[in-house]
Amino acid sequence: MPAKVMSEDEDQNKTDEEMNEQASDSDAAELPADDSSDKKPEISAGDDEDVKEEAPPSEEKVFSSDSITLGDSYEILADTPLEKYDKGPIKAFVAKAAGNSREPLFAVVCEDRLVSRRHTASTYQGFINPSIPPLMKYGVVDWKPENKQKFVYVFKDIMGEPLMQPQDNPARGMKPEKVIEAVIHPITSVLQDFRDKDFIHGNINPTNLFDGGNKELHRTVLGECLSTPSGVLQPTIYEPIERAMCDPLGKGKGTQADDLYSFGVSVAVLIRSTNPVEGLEKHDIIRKRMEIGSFGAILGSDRFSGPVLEFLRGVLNDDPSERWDLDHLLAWIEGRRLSSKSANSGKKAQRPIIFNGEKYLRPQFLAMDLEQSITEAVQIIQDGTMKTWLSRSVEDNMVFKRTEEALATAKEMGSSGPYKDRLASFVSCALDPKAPIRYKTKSYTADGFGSALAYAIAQKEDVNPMVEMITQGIILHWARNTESPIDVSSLINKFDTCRNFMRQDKIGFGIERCLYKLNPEAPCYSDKLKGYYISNPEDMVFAYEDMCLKKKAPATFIDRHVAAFLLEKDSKAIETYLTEISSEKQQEKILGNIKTLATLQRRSNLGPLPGIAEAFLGLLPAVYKTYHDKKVRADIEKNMKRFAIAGDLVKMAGLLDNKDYSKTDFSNFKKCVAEFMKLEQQRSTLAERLEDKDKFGKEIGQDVAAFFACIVSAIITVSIFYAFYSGGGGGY
Amino acid sequence: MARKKKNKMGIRGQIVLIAVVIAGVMALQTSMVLAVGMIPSVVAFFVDRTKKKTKAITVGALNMSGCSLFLVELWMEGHNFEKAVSIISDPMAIIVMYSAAAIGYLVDWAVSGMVAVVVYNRGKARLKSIKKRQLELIERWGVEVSGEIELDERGFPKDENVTKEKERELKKRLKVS
Repeated sequence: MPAKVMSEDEDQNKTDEEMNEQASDSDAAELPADDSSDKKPEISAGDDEDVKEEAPPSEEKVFSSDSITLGDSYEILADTPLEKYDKGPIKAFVAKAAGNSREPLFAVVCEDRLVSRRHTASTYQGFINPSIPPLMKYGVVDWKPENKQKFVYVFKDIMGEPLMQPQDNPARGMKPEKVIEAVIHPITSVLQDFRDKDFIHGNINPTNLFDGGNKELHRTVLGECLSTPSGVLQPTIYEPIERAMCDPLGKGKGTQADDLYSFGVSVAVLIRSTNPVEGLEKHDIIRKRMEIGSFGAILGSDRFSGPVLEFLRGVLNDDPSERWDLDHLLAWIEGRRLSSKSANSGKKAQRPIIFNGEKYLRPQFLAMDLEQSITEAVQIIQDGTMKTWLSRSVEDNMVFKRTEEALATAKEMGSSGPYKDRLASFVSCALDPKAPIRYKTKSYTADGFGSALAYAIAQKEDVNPMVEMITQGIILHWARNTESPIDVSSLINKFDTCRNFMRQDKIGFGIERCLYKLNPEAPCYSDKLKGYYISNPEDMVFAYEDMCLKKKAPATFIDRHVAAFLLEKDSKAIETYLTEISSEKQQEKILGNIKTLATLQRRSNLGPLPGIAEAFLGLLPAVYKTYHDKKVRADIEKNMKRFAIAGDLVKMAGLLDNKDYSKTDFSNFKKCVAEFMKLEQQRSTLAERLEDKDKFGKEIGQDVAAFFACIVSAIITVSIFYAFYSGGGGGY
Repeated sequence: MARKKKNKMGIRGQIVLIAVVIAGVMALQTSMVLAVGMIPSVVAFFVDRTKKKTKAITVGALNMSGCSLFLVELWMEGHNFEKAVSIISDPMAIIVMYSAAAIGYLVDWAVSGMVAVVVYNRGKARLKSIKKRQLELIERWGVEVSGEIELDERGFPKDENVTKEKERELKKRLKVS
């Protein structure tokens, strides 16, 4: 596979401001003195050209051909893992810079199925804060241990040891004063930087907080968050209740309020001495938090006083509108005393409703469990039991009204198909509009749907429930009714578009198109590109070129995934040829394929692609057959071979797409058909006449004989007259 | 009705017939000689089944040239009945006139036979060249050029299997021996 750094889309869109900040990054005074010589690599993958220009190649290219390198600047030591920085499936390894740098570095190697946050990496690079590891470079490497391309981030290793190991008891019993000084203060400055650039971390917890290499813990360092979607590896307890209800992959980007909440729980875990939710299941922890509030559920019997209590009450408030924001936190750090209201845990019914053998007093709890028994859920909804309970016991008119509307909306779409699941989902949303979308066993927010879909497709899981969530309007219904703080207006448009995509079955549409629409950071998951990390159309072309040069060319290049990916990334390169690509006729399919790749080659100035061109040569006989004239076919084939050697797909496609050629060929063909038919008529008549050999030519012969006889007769007669009149007559 | 119409002679024919009758009455002696001397031509006319009556023309032309010798003699010697009777009663004259007609038959047989052989061979050569051209067209444009298989709107066969069968059949049909 080609050892190359993938260029980043997002860097093209990078603002001038970000670029300036990056430049200033290299002058950072906080970095150790011996790092000054190694500032150059602190340039994103998108700035590769700059890297190439600045790097003295002869000195820095010290890596062996077997090493795993990110560009020419960094080597990742696959045989030296850094387990302390591992996060589930995301593994960390020691990295080293080119030259004789002793700068400690580490690389995190991403997993394709967990879409990494490539688009926010450039923003992260702009942060200059001693409490987050500086991002040196990111891009794609040939990951030799698995013989595939992987996306990696290389960070400067300033982290030290984690404050807590995943297997540790999540109650560290640290002194509050120490935590305020070494954790809250530095991380608040990080959160402040994040707020300034609208950056969400999504993975703040004690296992991702580090001591910065100092056992005395003077300044905590916050670990990276770019290698996975936001919140995927975040334990439930660190998420606000609404996010905690989601499947890990479907939490969505989150908000700064969510980060602040996670930070609050992390502080609580560090200072508490007991774990009050020990042994409880995720479901029960959420219930407990909803029942008594997060503050009570997380801190249990631990008693704190003074500023830290104020802090915890503020950031652990379950009502996002009452929860402290960063301004409150900064004011608190400055020493101002702030009060915080306790969150309202919602209305509780006077009498319970029995569902699935359990008693429920809160609509939110019932909403959580409705999916556990769809049949019974539909029964209590349709027979009026739930309505009666809501109106008489819960006495919440809003919930009652929403439930009635949900029932009516579910019925509007008919009672066929997954009606019961749809009804349960709609009613669940009506009972708890702050909760995520619940459908069958899935639970996502609308903006987390893309990550979950990417995972399901990458893992080849059953995506039917997700398809139904789009086609049955489950997500759109949720987006229109949710009280979640996320901005749903753009999501409504997106999912409306996706619903239209799902209505079309042809190539370039369907669930694949929804994936790349909803998750722009997702690499292309086509089976044809297995082993390659494809983040943009250019990468795709180079991957195919590499494949073809290794004589592993696919039968055709564009499948459903590739088409959907290209339509989202560079629609002009493919949409004109969609009809041909989706044609059942092989020749049209091939023509569509070559035209698309040729358009990419031309639009992106990709240079010669002899591998792909040669692969097409093997496929093109089917296209040559679209010409009637075999002489034209031979001429085209000859030219194709010439263009293929030059790797010029544009000329190849241009020649095949020449409408004049086709027109002339067809017109000549029609003339030849007419000629053949005329000849056939002549042949048939002639052959029939020739069969009667005795008669054939007889008539003409007789004509000739008559003519000959007339001439002879005339000569004889004239001769006789002449003989008599000239005096020679007198008898015969 | 139809029959009457068929046998009815046109005005032109009637005029010609009247003219011939008048001429025959006016030159009765000549007519006598011709009536006897041209009997083989009359027979040939009725025997000849061809539409254009080419055999009758051939025989008639040479028969006429045989009669012309005696007609000139008749006209040179007073154009009277005695001479006319002496000619038609002369066996030698009859032999000459009838021999000329026989030569006409011979010419018809020989010339038409020779010409027919030439024309037949030319026909065979033409057939060969037609087949050759047809095969060339198939070779260059494919069997679909024959117009004998179902084609789509762009002129390509709808069924490839039919194409192969048709190609075999056409090549067999157009095989040049």
